[in-house]
Amino acid sequence: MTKFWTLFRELFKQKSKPAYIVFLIQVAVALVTLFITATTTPNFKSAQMFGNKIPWLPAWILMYIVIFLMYSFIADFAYLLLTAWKNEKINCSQTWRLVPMSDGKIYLCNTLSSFCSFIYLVIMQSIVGLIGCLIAYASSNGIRKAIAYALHQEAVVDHWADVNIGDFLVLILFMILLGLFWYVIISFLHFTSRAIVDFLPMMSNKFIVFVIRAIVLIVIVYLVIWAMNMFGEIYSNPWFFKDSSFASSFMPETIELLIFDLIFGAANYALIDKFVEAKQNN
Amino acid sequence: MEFKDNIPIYLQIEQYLYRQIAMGKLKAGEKIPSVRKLAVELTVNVNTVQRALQQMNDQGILYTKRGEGNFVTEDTDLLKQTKQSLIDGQLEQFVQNMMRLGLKKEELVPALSKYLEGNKNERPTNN
Amino acid sequence: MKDLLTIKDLSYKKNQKLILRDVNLSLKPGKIVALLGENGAGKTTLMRIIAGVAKNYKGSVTLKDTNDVAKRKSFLSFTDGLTGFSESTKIGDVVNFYVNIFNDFDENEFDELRKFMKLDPDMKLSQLSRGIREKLIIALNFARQADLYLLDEPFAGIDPMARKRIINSIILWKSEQSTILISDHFVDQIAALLDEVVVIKNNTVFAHKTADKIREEHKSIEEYYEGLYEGEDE
Repeated sequence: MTKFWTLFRELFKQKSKPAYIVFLIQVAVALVTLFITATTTPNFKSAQMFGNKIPWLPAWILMYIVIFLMYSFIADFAYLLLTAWKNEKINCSQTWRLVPMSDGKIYLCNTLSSFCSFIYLVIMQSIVGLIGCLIAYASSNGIRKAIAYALHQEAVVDHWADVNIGDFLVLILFMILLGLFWYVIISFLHFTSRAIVDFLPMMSNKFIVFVIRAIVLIVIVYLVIWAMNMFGEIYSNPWFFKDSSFASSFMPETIELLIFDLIFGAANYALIDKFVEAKQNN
Repeated sequence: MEFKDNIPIYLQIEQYLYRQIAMGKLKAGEKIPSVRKLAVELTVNVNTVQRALQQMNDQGILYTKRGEGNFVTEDTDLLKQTKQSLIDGQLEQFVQNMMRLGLKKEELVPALSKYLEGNKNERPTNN
Repeated sequence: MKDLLTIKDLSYKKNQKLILRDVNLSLKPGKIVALLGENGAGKTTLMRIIAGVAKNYKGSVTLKDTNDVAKRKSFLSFTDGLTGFSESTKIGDVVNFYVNIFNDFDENEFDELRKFMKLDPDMKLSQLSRGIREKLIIALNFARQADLYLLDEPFAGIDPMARKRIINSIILWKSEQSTILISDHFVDQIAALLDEVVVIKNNTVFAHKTADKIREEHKSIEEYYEGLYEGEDE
């Protein structure tokens, strides 16, 4: 039988390709935007930070990084949509479902590899940001002075003191669970509607599939909201999380997400093992 | 080679090999092609070839050397017999067809001789 | 000899429509078996159930003494349309996938098959004609050392030369212990190859006979098969 990581690698290979494409488009679009900004802004050449003059090249690099990172939101969102679509295609692809592994495991492997390829894209974006910043920092005295100045401002120092590693980890955990939730809930929508369509006594025509998807979507949203309200009530108990730090105030939502991920993930695992067929393809 | 689909293929393979032997294309003591080679040559299943060879082994017309394959028997009497039975088979068919056409037994030989004579005259250079 | 595949009381519905009912079928190792039936009789569905990609059936499917779907998938090789790959994928990349995913995939054997079928590893899936694609699929399947090969209509829409290559590859590369189940709605093209014939009719296994038995009754397989439909409206 095929090992989990072997399949993971193959799936990751499939998904890293669109990640590179999205990344390259982002790089290119940011360049174009920078060019347009540079040519349309009159005093673009005389950049300043906290009164420190900055030569044009480091200024452009910094500017580029800012634009690039702003586009990350669009790029990441596009990639989430893209991989979710690819994810579902693979979940129902006979080619992939014939892999000697249980269907539930194939599903897990598929979802995890989608998520990891998303993280991979984020890491590529971060590296561009980091390298750009380092180059800018190293290449201009003005920028170094400006940063030193900014760090010495009292307000900034205070703010830095607030950040602690625990908060940071909770936030990361929350983001990971949120990313997973996206894939899990899309699969759930897909699997339940497919199982229902296969069961109903009619040919699977597109309109009916659409109606069923819409109904399932409404039911899922309703369920999630209901569950969130229920959690809300539990948390409002005074003996729950008395601490008022950021981490613990954010903890309930994180736990909630974790529970959603587990419940819907387990449901998907069972659905694909028992009901959701691979599409016929020959 | 084309097989008739309404006769077990293994029997037809046997017939085919008998004919090869009778015609001298496979000689006494000669190794016959491997099962797989025969299967590809005849476009049939390996199992079918094996069954045919097994039967021929049982009849003694072939013998197996371990790890080497199948060989035509060196028993010349048996080979003669085999050839004779092939000839008999063909004659049997011929006779039956003729009788179906209304020829009597005693008319067969004259008819055949006449045919052979006629053929000789028409195509003298053919042999 | 012990059975390789045993199907017991199998029933399958989709969209509340009965597709297979009370299917019982056993296949022994080392056979070439035709799965015959009209279009839409349920041949592909039966293969998909055996292959573990069709779900929610009643009854049991046992391959090499196991009911476990994942294990079953590792013992069998099913002709797949390769639609899980994008059309820009090169043959070489598809092969890499097979090498990595299927432990029983023999690269050397694939290379021989590839040469035999005259396939160019640099070709993209989108460039392949129906016949060449089918040859690739067969080559990928036979490069695996599976116990059961499920070939779903391997001769549909391909030219006689390609068909001959595929048939020869079946004869050449089939190992002694493995069984091949070939579905088709014609039989004359493969009749000489067959050990057994299974006919799907009226949503079930209507007949299961050895080719020799049929021929011993002085019928061709084609006549036998067509005889099962006699007296029915076209």
